[in-house]
Amino acid sequence: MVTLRGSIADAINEVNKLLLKTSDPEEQKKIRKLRKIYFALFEAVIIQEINRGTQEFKEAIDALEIARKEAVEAKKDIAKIAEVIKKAVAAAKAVDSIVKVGIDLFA
Amino acid sequence: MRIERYNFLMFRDGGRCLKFYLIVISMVLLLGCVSTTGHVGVFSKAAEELAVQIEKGYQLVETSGVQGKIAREAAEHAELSEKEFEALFKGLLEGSEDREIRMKMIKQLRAYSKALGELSSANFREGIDKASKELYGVLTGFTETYKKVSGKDAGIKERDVGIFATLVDAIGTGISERKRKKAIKKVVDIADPAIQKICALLSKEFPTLADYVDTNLSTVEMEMKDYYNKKGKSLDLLHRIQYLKEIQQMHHQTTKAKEFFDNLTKGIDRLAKAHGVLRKAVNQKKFTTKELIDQIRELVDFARSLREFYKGLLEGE
Repeated sequence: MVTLRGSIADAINEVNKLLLKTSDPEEQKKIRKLRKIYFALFEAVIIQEINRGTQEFKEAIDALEIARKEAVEAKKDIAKIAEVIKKAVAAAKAVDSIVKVGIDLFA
Repeated sequence: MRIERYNFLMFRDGGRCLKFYLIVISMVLLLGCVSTTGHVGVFSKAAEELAVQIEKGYQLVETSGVQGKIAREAAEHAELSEKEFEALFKGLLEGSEDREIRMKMIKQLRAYSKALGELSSANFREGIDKASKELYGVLTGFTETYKKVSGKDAGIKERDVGIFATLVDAIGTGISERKRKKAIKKVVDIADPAIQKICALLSKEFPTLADYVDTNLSTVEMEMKDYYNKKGKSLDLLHRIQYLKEIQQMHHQTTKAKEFFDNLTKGIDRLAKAHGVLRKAVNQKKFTTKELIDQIRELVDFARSLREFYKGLLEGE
């Protein structure tokens, strides 16, 4: 069964693996910032009761899956990291639309 | 009776004897020679031990969350304000009503298990009174805490709690075994819907928390590996070995924590099942059935292995 927290956990795990693959300090900085956002959302998802039936929920899961797949691909092709970050930010925004943490870290 | 007296002597020494106690009881269960109400006592000890492990599960959520935050902040190496430092050391549920109410619920589960055991084995009236007072409080408490956690009714009727109190009174000073069994039957009957609901709630909640623990510990491990890859060359051989051992320890902790939570969830399911079987048995006026013995045996095994598992998790075994 696909769950939002499970999808976020998978996304974080892929982001973690990606960190080991890159040696560019700037990219690492961006990835860590993204991970921080994911964790904030993760905690919000756990605390709040999520209505699984909402459309936002489905969209958030789909966005997280895209972000996770991109992260997996980027491990093979390091040039893709910028694209991964873009997708991951979109996924984080989708999750935030549900839990409403109102993260300003996307700026 | 002889077995009950022996159990009493064992527990004078508290938790240190628990391991041995559980092994002995497992063996006794295998032989199927525990007295009728003795099975209730064994069930209650295992359930109490399981409740302790559930508490530890919640503690692990808090400590791993803080560990994860520390590792992330250390890796980012940003300047932190006093407020940010404070947030860094705060667990996910720390200070929240969510945590408090869950802790209260687990404590009630523990108190229920303990008092049920005491009711089944007390040889004197004052022991019965102590156990029944505790059970009365717990039954009332279940209703309140479960409602707060889930927003739903635990299924305990006030009228039934009153009947239980009357049945306890009827046991008398001479301890009538027949009346004791009647009181046990009543309390198991009253508590079962709440036990089933509480276990279902915990069983649903723990996989979520397990993911959180796993992700945090994996993040710590990953940051340690990243540091080793980048800075390892500047360390001498002994320090590199030392650092790799620390990564190994972290890896062990991550793996074991996941297994601990998986087993904890299974243990909670076993508890619900065993209590349900106990209810069925006492309602058939049978304080010992093969199904009950099997369920209690499984619960005892789970409680014991969880305790050992948690110990191993901390000790890096």
